[in-house]
Amino acid sequence: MTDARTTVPKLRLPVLCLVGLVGAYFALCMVLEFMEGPGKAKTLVGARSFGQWNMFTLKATWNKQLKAQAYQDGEWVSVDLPEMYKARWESGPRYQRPAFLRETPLTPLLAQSICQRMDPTPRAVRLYRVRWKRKLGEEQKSDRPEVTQLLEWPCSRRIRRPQGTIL
Amino acid sequence: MSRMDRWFAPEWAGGWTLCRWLYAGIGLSFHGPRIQWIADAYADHGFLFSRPPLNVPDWWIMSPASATVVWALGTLGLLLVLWGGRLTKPALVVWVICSTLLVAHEGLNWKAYDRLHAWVGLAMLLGPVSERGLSTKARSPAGRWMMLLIFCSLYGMTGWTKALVPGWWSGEVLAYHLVDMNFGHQPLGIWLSGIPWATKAMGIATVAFEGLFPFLIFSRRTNPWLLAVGTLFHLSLVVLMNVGPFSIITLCAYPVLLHPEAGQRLWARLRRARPA
Repeated sequence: MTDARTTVPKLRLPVLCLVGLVGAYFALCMVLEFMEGPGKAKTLVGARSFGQWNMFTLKATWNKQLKAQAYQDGEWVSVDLPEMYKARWESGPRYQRPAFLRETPLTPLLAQSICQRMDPTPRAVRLYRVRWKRKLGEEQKSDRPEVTQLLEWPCSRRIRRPQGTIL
Repeated sequence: MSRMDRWFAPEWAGGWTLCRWLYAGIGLSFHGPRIQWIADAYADHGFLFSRPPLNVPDWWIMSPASATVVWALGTLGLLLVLWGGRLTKPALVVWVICSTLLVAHEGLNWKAYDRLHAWVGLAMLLGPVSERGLSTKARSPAGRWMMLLIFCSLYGMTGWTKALVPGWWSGEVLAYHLVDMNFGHQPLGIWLSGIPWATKAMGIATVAFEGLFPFLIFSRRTNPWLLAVGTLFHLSLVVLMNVGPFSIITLCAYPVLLHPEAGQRLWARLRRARPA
C-alpha cells in the first residue's frame, strides 16, 4: 500500500447521515411495498419510484398491443404507430405502456397526439387493445386475438393534460 | 482507536477503477442512441408525461435543441468519467443532472436501469473514483457502504416480494415472462419456457439468490461466491431476456461489492498470471 487515506474527520458524520438517510428511504419503500403488496402501490407512489425494485414479480399471461385507426377520406385506415412513434424502450413503444392499454385519463391524450402527428389531420381516431394468451415454449403469434375498442376520438376535440397544459 | 476510526478504516480500493470504466462505458451505450429520437421522446409537447417528484415537464418541456444540448452535456460528462482524473466527480454530477432531466421527460416509464445508474453514480461520488493507480491504494469505505445499501435494497426487495408470490417457486411466473413480447421472446428463453422443471429450477435459484443477497454479501467467506453466482445470473439474463443494459449496470458495481481482501487477492493473482 502506498497510501491509506480515508474520509476526513469533519466529513464523517455528514457521510454517515447521508448513508443513514438513503437506508431509511429504501427501508420505507420496502415496508410500504410489503404493506400494500407488489404492484399495488398507493402511498407516495411517485416518491417511491426511485427505491422501487419490483422486477417481473407478478404473473402476466397475456401479450397486449395497441392498434389505431384513423378516419380519412370517408374510411377507417390503419395507423402505422411504430413509424409514428419511433422511440421505444425494452418494455416496448411508448404508446404501449399499461396506461394506454385500458381506458384511463391518458388514453384520450394518445388519441389527440395521433391526430396532431397525422398529415392531413384525420376527422377521428380509434384506439384498440389487441391481446392474446401467451403460449409457453412457442413463438408468440397473435392468432385469434381479443380485440377491444378503447376509444373513438374526434380530432376536433381538445383536451387538457392532467397538469393543465393545453396540448 | 475510536469507533469512528474503526468504521472509516481504509480498505483496498482497486475495484473502483473497473467500476468507473464499466459505468461510463455502459452509460454511453444506452445514452448515445437517445439522440436518434430526441425530438420524439423528449421534446414532443403533445405526448410527454410527468410524474412527481420529478415533474419537470409541468413547467418546462425541452425543445429539440435544448434536449440535444442536455444529451450532449450528458455524453461529455460520461466521457470525462471514462477518462478519469480530477474532473471525474464534477463530470459525474453533470451526467446525473442531464440524465435526470431526460428521465424526467419519460414520466410514463422510469426504467430500473436509469434509476440504478443514478444510484450507482451517487455511490461513486462517495468513492475514490477520481484517483488513478487505485490497485495499490487503500481508501475510505464510505462509497462501498452506499453501494452495499443500494444492492441490498435492490436484490432484497425484488427477491423477498417474489418469494411471496407462489408462482415464482413453481417457475410459472418466470416461464410467462420469458415469452413476453418485449422483455422476453429470445430464442433460448422461449425454448426453456416450455420445460417446467427448468423454469422451476431457475425460479427457485432466482428467488434464493436475490433473497439471500443482503445476508451473504457481508460475510467475507460467502461474498466472492455470491458475486460469482450473481455474475452468472446477470449474464444468463442477457441471453434469456431483453432487459436492456440493466444486467451490465448491475455488474459494473460488482468490483466494488467484492470484499476488499478478496479483491486484493484476486488482483495480485491476476498480476502474477500476466505474461511478462
